[in-house]
Amino acid sequence: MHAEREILFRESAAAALLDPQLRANFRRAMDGLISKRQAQFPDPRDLQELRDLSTAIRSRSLLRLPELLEQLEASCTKNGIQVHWAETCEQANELILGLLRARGAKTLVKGKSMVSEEMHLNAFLEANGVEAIESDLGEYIIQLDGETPSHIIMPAIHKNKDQIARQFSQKIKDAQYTEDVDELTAMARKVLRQKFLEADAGLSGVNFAVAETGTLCLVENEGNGRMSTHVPPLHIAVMGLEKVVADLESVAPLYAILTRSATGQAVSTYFNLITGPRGTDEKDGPQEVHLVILDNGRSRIYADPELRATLRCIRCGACMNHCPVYTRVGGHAYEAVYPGPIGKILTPQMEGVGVRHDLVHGSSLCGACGEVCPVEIPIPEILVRLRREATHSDPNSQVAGKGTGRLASEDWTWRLWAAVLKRPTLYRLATWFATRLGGALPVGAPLLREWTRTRTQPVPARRSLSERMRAEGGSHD
Amino acid sequence: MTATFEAFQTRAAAVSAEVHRFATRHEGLAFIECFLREVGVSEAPGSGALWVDGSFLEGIGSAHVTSQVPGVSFEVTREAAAVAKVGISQLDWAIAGTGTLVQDATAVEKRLVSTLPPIHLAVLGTERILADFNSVLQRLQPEQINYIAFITGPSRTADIERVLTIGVHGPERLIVVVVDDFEKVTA
Ligand code: SF4
Repeated sequence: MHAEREILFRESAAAALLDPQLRANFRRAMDGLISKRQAQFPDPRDLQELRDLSTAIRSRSLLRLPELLEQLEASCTKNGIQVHWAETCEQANELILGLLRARGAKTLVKGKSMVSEEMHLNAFLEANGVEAIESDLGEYIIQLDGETPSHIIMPAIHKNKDQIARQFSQKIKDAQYTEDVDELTAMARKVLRQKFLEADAGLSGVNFAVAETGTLCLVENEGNGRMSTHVPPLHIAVMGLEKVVADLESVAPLYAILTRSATGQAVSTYFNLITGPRGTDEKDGPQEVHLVILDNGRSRIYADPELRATLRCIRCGACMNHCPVYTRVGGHAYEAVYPGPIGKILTPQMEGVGVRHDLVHGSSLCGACGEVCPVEIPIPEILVRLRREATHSDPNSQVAGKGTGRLASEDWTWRLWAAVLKRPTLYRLATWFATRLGGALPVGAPLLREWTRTRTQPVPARRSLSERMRAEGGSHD
Repeated sequence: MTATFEAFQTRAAAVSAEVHRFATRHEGLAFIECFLREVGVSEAPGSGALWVDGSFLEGIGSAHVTSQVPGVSFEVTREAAAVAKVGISQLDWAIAGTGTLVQDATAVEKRLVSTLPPIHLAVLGTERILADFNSVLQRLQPEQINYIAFITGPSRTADIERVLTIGVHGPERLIVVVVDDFEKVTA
């Protein structure tokens, strides 16, 4: 069984490399993020201590994942938060649409949520007559152009202010052209403020969900998350099932390392702990809070003890900021919801390691991602494992699309190779031809072209070793 | 206490919050009234201030404020908050280490006045400033509070070219009035 290899990262990456503006935008932004992060961790020992602690917390939470999820559901239910489970993105989308329809909601204002990107919720709602408005400034900017995020923390980082200025002046009603960032921000604020006040429902992501208390933790800087969760009458939170932690004590270190690793801030401007909808004696605020917990392949990832580490991720984006590939090609080249190193290991596991075979190979395995990851996810090791999974169908493996990345041509090359090695006469004949004609190999031929495209063509010796041994009187003893 | 306050003030100032300390609530109130007049709070549309009354005005009375600064209202609604110039609310705790304010924001009025108006003025007792996040968590019972808000400086974004911009959705100014004799009331 061979999967279609339609999306080729190396092709989109090659195209991205030709765009100097894009490269400059990313280089500048990433350099800034790298130095801001560094400033937050002046002492490498302190950093390592915090990483160890965070890794331990995330690993322990995953170890008890099924139990913690049950506890989370019970605590939330007790607090008046209604919990819904979705195995697939389609189910999650339907669920949310159902909740909106039940309240006759026509507009949904959204705080930043990568899980909702994963679900392609906006397009789904749009198709079903509900307007979904992104309220995070970066998300708003890309929504105006119908783009997807190019970074998980800074979705519009691929654009510079001139591009945004042009875009705003064309797409926002009555907008004057300006390149002043404060004025651009004020423009977006004005449009979005109106949307907040009119919206029928608000949607947010979840950074950590606390099983013991049923608390949803939300990290943000802009205040749009706060608005999405308390201005409209209905609040829907969506999370991947891995986001649960045991107790509030677990949250403090994770929060500390998240903001430092992500934007180089000691704390974010806002940190909200939501434990329930408004009380019966309150006259305003969301009457209903719903929590949608999405699987979308996560329990399959969970089932593999090595790959499970993927789920420790707290979505800080540090791995992409430090990735030599990401900083040069930008987020869109990955053609995946999650770009960069985390995307390279997450996307193939969600969509199938065969179809996204190119992603796991699009890495030099330099190890920078694993080194900065606040929860020590061994991204390079997982990449190597997934490269193998793509071409081998281990019966014990649960990896989506395992073995489907194997090409017929690869198969047959290896078979030919094995056949030749097994037969000494054939082997001698082959090496004779290779040494005599090697220099004249047609490097432009389809298969060889693949090999030599990024490698120097090997020049074979004029005679094989065994020939020389025989000629020069060497012996095997 | 002074050391903790100073640590808080330094950290809060670093994230663009403006912190003022007063010995008594009366002095604090005098500052607030003066501040409100200065920023042009009046009865004119779009120039109001909304105050979610806590214990700060106990024994002083809200009437005192409204007589001093017309335009201050204690009737907080979503509509009023959307057009108000200043929102005033009482904060429960603060964290010296990060310059963070902490509020039991279960009452949505508190969230509205700290989110919608362009200026948020927070009042706080000096004794309420604690060292770190964990000390606050120990004093709160999150499982019994529907909404806890941690606020560090005014609303900000760096989504355009990583240029830091203040006041994208929430307030663009955060004024913190810290008062020493507060505990006598809240205790
Ligand atoms: S893999 Fe690690 S570095 Fe990358 S986003 Fe996740 S937590 Fe951050």
